[in-house]
Amino acid sequence: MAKDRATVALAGNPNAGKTTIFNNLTGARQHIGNWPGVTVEKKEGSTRIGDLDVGIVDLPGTYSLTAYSLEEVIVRDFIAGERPDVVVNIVDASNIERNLYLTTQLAELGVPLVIALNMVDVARGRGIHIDVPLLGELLGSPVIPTVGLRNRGTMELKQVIADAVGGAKYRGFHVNYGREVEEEITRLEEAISADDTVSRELLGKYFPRWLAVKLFEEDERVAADLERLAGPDSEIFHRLEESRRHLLSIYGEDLETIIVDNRYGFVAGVVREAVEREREEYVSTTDRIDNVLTSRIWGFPFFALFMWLMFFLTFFLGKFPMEWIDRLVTGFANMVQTNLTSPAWLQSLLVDGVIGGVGAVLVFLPQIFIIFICISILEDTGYMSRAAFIMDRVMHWLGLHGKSFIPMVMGFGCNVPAVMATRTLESEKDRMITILVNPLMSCTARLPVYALFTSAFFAANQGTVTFSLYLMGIILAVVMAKVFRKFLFPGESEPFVMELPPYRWPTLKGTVVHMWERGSLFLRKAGTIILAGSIIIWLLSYFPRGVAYGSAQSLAGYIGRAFEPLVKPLGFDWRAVVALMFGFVAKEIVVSTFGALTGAGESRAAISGQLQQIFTPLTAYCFMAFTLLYTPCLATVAMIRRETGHWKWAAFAVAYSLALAWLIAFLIYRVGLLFGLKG
Amino acid sequence: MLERIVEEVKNNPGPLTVGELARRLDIEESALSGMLDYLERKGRLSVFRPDECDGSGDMACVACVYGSGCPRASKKEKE
Repeated sequence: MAKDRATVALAGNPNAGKTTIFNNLTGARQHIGNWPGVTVEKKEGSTRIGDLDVGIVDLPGTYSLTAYSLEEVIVRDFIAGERPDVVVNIVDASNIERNLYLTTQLAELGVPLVIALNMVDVARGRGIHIDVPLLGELLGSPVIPTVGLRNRGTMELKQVIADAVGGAKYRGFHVNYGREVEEEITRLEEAISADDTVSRELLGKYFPRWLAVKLFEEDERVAADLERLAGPDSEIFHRLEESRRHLLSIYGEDLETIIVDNRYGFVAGVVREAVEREREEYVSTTDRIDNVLTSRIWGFPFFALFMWLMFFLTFFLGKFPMEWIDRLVTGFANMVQTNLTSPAWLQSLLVDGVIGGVGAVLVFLPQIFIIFICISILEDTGYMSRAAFIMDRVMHWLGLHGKSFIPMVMGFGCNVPAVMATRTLESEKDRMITILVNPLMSCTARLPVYALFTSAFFAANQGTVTFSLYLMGIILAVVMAKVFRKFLFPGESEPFVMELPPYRWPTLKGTVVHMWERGSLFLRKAGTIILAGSIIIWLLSYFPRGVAYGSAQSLAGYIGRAFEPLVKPLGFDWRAVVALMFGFVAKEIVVSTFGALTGAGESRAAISGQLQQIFTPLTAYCFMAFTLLYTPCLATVAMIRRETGHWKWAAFAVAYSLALAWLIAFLIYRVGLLFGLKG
Repeated sequence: MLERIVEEVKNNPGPLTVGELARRLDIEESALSGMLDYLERKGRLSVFRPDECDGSGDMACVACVYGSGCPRASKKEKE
């Protein structure tokens, strides 16, 4: 007697158009709930095909039927447990090779399979031609071309479902895993079937072959079920172990890889037979852009150009609002000084310490915001991933592998979270190298220092000089990565591939939000660490009582002079020592310190003027290079200690970067003198 | 097939994108992506996907320029 009710399950990869097909089949007759015990959405609907009432269940989208995700478990449990009359496998024709992988696993479950070859129009547009009858023949199942979005093929699909429910027989298929593997599968099947408890409890739901293949795939759920029913010392597991040993000796691979590889091999064979791709393959806009921006010849010059442009814009556009803020801060300091009737020390604390210290840094807020806008645009368009890719090429050229490229871009933001994030690098050696070279990348905290010095000494070429410093950081990070790889952490990194996102237009909202989220952190830092640092600098510059504020006789001067001999060969004096010492807390404080020690306070123009008395363009560049390279800030050092688990690595990071900074500054200074520059 | 992928990646002298690898091996890019997922799970190679960052401290964060200003991470913390 013909059935008058049937259950159909829709299964497919995410984004294969499953829900659209579900809507086309059921119309408005839908019910949405949750799968029992989980929050994964369960969609059910119904339709009538002739006299047949069909309940349709839209299963969660999944790429395979392993037990690694909740969705995969739901799909296979439903198909095995509920035994729907038909499973409609929605296959995205434009990504057929990936989608058919799931088909091989659905077929192994032994349910009647109907294939809806969806998005055939998209596939055709990309020059993919599928021989549908041949595909059906190869898969032993009916294949119906559909265009879900245009409701094409729905009637034909319904008819095939009705035929399948009505008893039409389809051959189906299963992947042939090769003689040796098939023999082992058969032996394991026999062991499974021979176990009474397993037969009684599981073989009503699953085929022994499916259970055997799942054991080969190291499926934990199936293994646990069989272990519970048959026991860990049963013939099933002895058999499995023997198969594992035997096949490993033949293939040199674990069982799961043999199974997965064969499935992909089967799919590749089907695709080779039934799918034809036009010679002139579809080339996306992203591919076209990448052909230029990531090419071997143009990739690096474009990367350098974008970097230079970023700094040019930062200084060119930033100078106007910077002057407004400068005037505002100076005006505010003057107002406080004029109107505040309080002891001289308190007035000095407020004007020189707080307003002078924080104000000197706040002046650079526009430039910080502009650089963050540029970084947001580069990232939101997808270019930053390409930058990493391009830099990776340089790393390979130096004999480094894989993820060592990462420090090339991660330090542009802040070194602290970048160090923290290295914990996900699998290779301990890669991780250590990444942590150690990370502080050489110029984070945004160094920008106020560059801005101050370039405005005082290189006003016409601020962007270019800053660009040269960033480039210096990148080059030295690469060189040091190479040194560490050779001497401290020898070995090879694991091979790796990069998935580049498509290019996108950045949105105004996204860019503004990203800029604000990063820029506001700078503001918060100004109100906390920089404020605290400024007060300490004030204390050291003001005391002992009676000495001139910020003079060589102050406590700051005493400390600075004690270490001055160390920096004399670089052309620096004691004020540079104090500034660099406080820069250890946060690099921005270098600017505040110069404000205090030169007595110029918060006015950028005044600080610039004073700096010209202390530095020459050559020593100024040396000082910026030193600031770029010398010891990571306190927060980064603490993070290095946490992530490496040893103070010795934190100390090493401080020591080697200090030595490197000294050496590079010394070289620049000496070479500059040789060329006749004023020291 | 999987072995070919690992060999190709290992022997490649420079960085490699999924698209480039798919072209070389004549495999559909999305299918290759699935194979790479598998090989990554088995620890045979790794795949860097900058677009998949959710602020959870995975690979994508490592190359991220957001630093401590990562909006996704702060959103996650609030959750």
